[in-house]
Amino acid sequence: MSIPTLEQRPTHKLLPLLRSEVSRITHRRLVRVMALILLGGIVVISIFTFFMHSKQLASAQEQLESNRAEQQRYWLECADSAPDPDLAEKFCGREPATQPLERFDWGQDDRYKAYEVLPIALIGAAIAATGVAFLIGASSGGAEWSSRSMTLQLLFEPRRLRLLTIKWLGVVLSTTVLAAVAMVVAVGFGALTAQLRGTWDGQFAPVDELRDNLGQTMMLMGLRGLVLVAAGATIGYAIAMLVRNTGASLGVAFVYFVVLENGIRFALMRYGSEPYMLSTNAVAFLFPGGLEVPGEEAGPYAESTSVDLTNLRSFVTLSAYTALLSLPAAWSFSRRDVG
Amino acid sequence: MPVIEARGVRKTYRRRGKPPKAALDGLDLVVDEGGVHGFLGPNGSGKTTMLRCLLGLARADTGDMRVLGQQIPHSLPAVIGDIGVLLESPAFFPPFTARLNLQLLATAAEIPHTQVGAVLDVVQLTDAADERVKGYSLGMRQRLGIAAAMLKQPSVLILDEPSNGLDPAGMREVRQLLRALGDSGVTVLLSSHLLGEVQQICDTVTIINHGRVVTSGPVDEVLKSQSTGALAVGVADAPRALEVLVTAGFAARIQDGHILVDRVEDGAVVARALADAQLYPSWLMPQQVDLEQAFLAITADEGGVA
Repeated sequence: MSIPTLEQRPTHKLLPLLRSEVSRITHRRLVRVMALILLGGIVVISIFTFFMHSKQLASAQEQLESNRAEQQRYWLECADSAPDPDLAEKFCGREPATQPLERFDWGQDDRYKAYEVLPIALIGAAIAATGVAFLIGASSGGAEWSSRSMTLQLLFEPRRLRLLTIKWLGVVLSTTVLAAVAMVVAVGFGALTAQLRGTWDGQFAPVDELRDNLGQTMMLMGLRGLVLVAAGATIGYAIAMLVRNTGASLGVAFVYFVVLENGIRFALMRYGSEPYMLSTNAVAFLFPGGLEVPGEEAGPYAESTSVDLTNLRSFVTLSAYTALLSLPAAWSFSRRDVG
Repeated sequence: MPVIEARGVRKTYRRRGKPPKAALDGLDLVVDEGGVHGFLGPNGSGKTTMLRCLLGLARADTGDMRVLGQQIPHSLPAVIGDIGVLLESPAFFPPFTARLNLQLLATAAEIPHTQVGAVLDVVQLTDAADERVKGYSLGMRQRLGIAAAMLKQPSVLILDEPSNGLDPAGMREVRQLLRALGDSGVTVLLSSHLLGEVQQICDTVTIINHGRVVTSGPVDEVLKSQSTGALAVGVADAPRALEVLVTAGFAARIQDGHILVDRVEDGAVVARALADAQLYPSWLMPQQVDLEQAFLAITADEGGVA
């Protein structure tokens, strides 16, 4: 027995460390299962959505509209043959409705309206990916502590902040790539559905930005989605580094989102708490132009005001929350003893 | 030049509702280049804490520590590539295979993956290399820990209880490996509870208790310092021989059918005293102190085992 000879001394470069970290994350079964659930879920929902929509109904609608147009034409011909135009209604009956059918018959339109649904698909994929990113971040950090493999890694890279940064980068890189794939799948399936069973009519756009430039607006939404995913992964990882346990990290998230946020909403909404809620800011950050959310109640009759939660404002709020958790986590990791 | 040098290291742990506890109380540790150095102490004496401080895993309150001439923890990154470590139970990611665990470490340090196969071969885990670590026995994990410690081909090897969980054959192999490494110029710092193991393979030893060094030096010298100089004498008429020796001024007693004479500098003096009384010893045997006896005596002097 003897130690095999090594031709090159071990190095401490950033890229190999990052490669090792990404490889560690992507080899984890939980990460693979979560990725499969996320992408599989999007595919299933997309297929379901595909079959929920129908161009056939849209054709029927078009037929209906054409019938109405024909009735209109007959009525006009009839009105022309009337002895006096003022007596047209007596001669030909009541004039058929001239408004386009869409105005009052949207309920029957089962077409997949790309401008309306694609942004929702993108936002849905981004939010789901953010949840997965939080879970991956929390479990990556927690697993390092529960298996004590963090100790072993510190014996290869003892610069703690450097190791932490690389580990954080690994989690963010892995989760944002997964999120990007998820969003591309969601939008790709949506586009296919719109092409085969829907419409690309811009009049269905819920906001002007989408109607004016669907591609660019969606691209910006996607980028904001990736930022949100990175924030989710960072928060999950930071909590795990603080409490050094996956279960406790998930518990903290559960308590915040289920108990604390709802409790605050219930008790403090009238004092204008909504613009500071993490979940509200996450949605506002994704939505083109942001969201208008309830603000403080004011005036003698406690009238509700509203606050314009722009993308920038929600970005600042999300960044503040992320920093609030990440900085103590980094400080704690750099100072505390490792067992 | 010492490869490991620690002077006056103090480390105190705060405890909720209790006064702080000093795990290391001005501990000194000097390990010269090459050979195997034993690091002994009762449970809770501060061995692992000292190793953790040396490796930057725990922060010492005060003291000066150097490894390979570099200040610890400040310059640890400069020398960590030359230090192989097995600290307590090896910490691997249980759902990964042994090979993957080592490959991830190798990738991080740009060590060729061929080295992974080589170290797995050394610890005889090649056949189980692609099994998940969570299915490993304690002994297999220990072997994997030793493989990880060797991955960097270190010039300093710090091992905390490396034989833990190994079967007798595995323990023997590890001892042979450590002895061979020590002979080849690698500096091995071995913390162990197996005093027989330390006595067998270590050149020098440091014994600590209550966070302080009790004794340190070559194993032979430490044993000699604890020797009582007793001599066992086999003689046909033990009661008469005892009477003769006591009359001649020796501190002697009968033990297990033979005579035990304390503090004998020259065995010939005892033999002559008996021969003068027409009693002829069938054998004379100086009583050796082993490391276990020395350790127990030393730590008992220091206020007992913690």
